[in-house]
Amino acid sequence: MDINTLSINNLSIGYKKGRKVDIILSDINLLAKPGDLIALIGRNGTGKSTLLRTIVNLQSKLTGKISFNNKSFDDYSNSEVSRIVSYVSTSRVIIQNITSFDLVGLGRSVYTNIFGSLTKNDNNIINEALKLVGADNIKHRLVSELSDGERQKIMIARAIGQNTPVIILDEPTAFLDLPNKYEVIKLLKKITHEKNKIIIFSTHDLSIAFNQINNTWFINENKIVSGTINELTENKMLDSLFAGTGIKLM
Amino acid sequence: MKIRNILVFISFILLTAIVFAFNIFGNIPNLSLSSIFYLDFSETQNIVLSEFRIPKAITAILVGAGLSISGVQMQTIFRNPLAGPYILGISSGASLGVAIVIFGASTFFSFVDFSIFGSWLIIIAAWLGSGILLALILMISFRIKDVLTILILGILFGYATSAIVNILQYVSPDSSLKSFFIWTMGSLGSVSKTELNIFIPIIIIGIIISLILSKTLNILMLGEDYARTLGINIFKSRLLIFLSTSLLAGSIAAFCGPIGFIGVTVPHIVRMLFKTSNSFTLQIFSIFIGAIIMLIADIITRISFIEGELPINSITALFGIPIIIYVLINNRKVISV
Repeated sequence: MDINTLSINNLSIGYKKGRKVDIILSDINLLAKPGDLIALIGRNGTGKSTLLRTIVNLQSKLTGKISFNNKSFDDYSNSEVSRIVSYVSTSRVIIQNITSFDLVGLGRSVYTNIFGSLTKNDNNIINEALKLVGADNIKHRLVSELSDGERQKIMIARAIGQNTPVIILDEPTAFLDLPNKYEVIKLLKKITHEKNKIIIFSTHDLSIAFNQINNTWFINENKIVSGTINELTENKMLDSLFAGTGIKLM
Repeated sequence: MKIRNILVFISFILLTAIVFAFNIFGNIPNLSLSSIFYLDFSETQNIVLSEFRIPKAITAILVGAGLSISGVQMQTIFRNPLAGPYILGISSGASLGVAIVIFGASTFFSFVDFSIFGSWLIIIAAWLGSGILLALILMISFRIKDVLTILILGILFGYATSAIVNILQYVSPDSSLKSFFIWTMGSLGSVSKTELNIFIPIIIIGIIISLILSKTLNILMLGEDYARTLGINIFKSRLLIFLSTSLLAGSIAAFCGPIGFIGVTVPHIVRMLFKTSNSFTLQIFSIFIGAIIMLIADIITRISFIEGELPINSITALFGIPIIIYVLINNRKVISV
């Protein structure tokens, strides 16, 4: 297998409540290679967030294997995993008195010493991340005073600062206006392209994302399939997104 | 930026020293400036200084520093501006322990006459009380992931313990009621020189643990999901933070009674003054500002129209509440989660 590949084998995800096990998705087999920009799509409640949270190890998997570089995540330590995958969640981060620069700097904490002091190299990486997302001009502003779109860019820059080969984003375009949605997706494309990273993000904005992504993971009826947009349309897969709504794709 | 912080640091050391001097030398009869300068005191002045003023001022510094630094920790871990060192029920646990000792002793050993503060029995009871409550919270924290639930549970435990304390008060004789009431008002003057030998190292250890946790605290500001994806072990860091807070706030409650509002207020003052979110900076300057405010509060308790001193807890409350109101009104954007 190629290096820096993320592979998911026979994974099943869900929740354990005492003895009861709630399986949300099972038999998940997926592959992502460096340079892949993957959109995870599916209707509400189908398990998009659960899958993403399981990949970043925020939630334990039920069975199966998630591996990077042919090594299972179970065999990596917590701090090693934090150097492989970074995560941008849907929750709004509210911190008093923190500048954009310092917030992105927190992404470097994976590499800094016990006091979290930033070296010259760290500062360069932070500045580069801010430049890449186009937030160079707001780096000294307080995060609490930024707009939603600006804040999302800073959170993405923080993930870039963490310098991981895989970045996972949970609905990065939610709550944004149309121009910002386009801008964020284009930004993700740029990062995968320039940094040769794997980026996986869940979204409902398929119409905006479809010509930027090179693969989709599509959840339907408790199954997840992988394919390009064209493949999914040819197989009439996307129709099922609208099942029960009376809407038909041409 | 860094050089500026070092200059500010040095000036805060000087400022603390000046307030300390005002605290210990203020209002001593027949004390002239020259005798302060040459450290030439009469015998009475010497006794007043070494037996009362200096131990009390040192206690004030320890209390202010310890409560403020654990206030920073609690506000960070609960991501709530109203959290303080006693939010986990530490003080209510301490007061339950003290209530059991005071009321129990007066009921069963009515012949025993022990002074309320100075007594090791009281100190150990307060420690045990806060320690047991903290252990409960930690056990729950192992099972419950959501930190807000833990916060609410801490408050509920507080209500439960004060309910028990109320029952104890109701069935107890009047004489012990006053002793307990005096304990709840807090006192800086109750810590003797021998007790300081234990109090000082405990607070210093607590402060050192807190400062080492600065990086973890900074990451926890992002919320627990982000912290975990940054490689932080949530349970381990909660354990360490709760331990250092109970070491600080639990010991302060044990030695001086439950002194309120310093731990909640001081971190906000530091945030306003320094416009920083860095936990290390916040904690360092909380130490100084907490110490200075407690020294001043102690001076105020002496300006009294009655004999004796005003209760320190009332002073800290009257000082802290307006600042908290100001913070709540001005920072709604930061507070609404």
